Amino acid sequence: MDTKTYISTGIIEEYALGVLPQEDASILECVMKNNAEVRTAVLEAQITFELLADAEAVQAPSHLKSDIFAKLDFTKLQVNEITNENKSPVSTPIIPLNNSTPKNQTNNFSKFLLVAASLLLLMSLGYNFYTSQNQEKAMTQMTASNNVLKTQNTDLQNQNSLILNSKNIKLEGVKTHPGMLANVYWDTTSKKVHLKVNNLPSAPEGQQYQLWAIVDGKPVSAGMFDGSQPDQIQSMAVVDKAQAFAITLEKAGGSASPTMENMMVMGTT
Amino acid sequence: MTRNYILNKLKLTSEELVTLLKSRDEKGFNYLYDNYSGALYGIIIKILTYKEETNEVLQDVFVKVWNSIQSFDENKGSLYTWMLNIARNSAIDRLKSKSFRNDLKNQSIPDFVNDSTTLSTEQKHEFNEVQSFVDKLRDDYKVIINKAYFGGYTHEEISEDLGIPLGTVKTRCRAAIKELRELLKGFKHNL
Repeated sequence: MDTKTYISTGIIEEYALGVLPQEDASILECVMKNNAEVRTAVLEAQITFELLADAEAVQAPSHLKSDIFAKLDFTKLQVNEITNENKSPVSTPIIPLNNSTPKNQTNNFSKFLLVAASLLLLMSLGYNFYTSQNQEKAMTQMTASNNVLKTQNTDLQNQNSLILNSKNIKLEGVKTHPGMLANVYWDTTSKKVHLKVNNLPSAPEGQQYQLWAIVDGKPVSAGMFDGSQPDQIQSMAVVDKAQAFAITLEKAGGSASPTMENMMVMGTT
Repeated sequence: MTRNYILNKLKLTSEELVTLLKSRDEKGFNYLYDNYSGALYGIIIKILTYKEETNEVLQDVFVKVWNSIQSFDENKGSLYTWMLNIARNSAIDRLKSKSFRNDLKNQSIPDFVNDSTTLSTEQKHEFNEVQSFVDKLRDDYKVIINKAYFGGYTHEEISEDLGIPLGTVKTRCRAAIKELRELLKGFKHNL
């Protein structure tokens, strides 16, 4: 849908009349930021109602002004000065430490050293015996975890090069879902969209998440996902142009158009 | 041309005003009240009709504006539109509130905000109702502006209420605003 068609859907009039549902309004506000033509159309509709309000202005009763002023707090926000007034000097009594000199116990002390050394030797021998038994086992485990790390490293390198070549769009939770978060990585050359889910609850039975690209105000599906692999970057559709991305919860297999009340997160490009 | 001039002038004033308001400057609020209270009062009394109620809502609106000016975002429209929306929503909320409905019942007032019923001259006088620009619109346009803008009804609700297809509501709404814009063309912005 091009800009002209989008404007002609009547969505701007609904917005200017203040009756556009919240989620649609958020999308329009996104589009406005990126599309001068849409912005002009919105402002023009709003100006009409501003002119109407001017034309139909009614002088308010004169006593109201002072009533309203009495209700407002005009104190400016001030930085509180840190005062040390409460820190009154208190004389702290000096308590002398017990400084009585130790008596001559050299003999007892060398005996103690011998016993301690023997004990340490025993403990060391025991420990060495124990560790040598476990060493082989540990080696196997380390090889395994090393392989895991190698794979993770390759994954991270791939992710890194992906992120470096992509535009990052942070999709944040809408009013009804604060704190939810996902990131879109949009490859600047191939236009391929990748998605990383940071915080989305797992989709309920029979439902799936759907990623949408908002192209001139019209949502276009960019693919489905379950949200079951929160640490993976998932590969989504190729999107040439978009002003915003959003995620909704839909029936498994996806919907033709997004269910606005199930919108979880949104972000502008 | 004239419109652009008005728009630029308004925007400039608006930006300076927002800066003053955000720094909690009393002079800024004074300017705001002197320049916008009439327009806000006009829209509230158009929705509520009663002076007592209108006085209360206007006070609430200015308190809301003062307390939430930090959240005003010029990307979504002008300061003026932002305040008009606060005034309109507050008045519509009051209209829909139970206590206000009881008042209406007790005083048996014709529901001319939601209907396009024509009032007698006497009634017009009684309710301070003067010929409005909206009244100059075609009847089928007027009813939509009244219901949507002054009644807060969605297009779906209007479609159901009037028994006309949603598409027709949208088309008429576009045409209504266009006609309203034409009617107001000669009207000089007072700010």
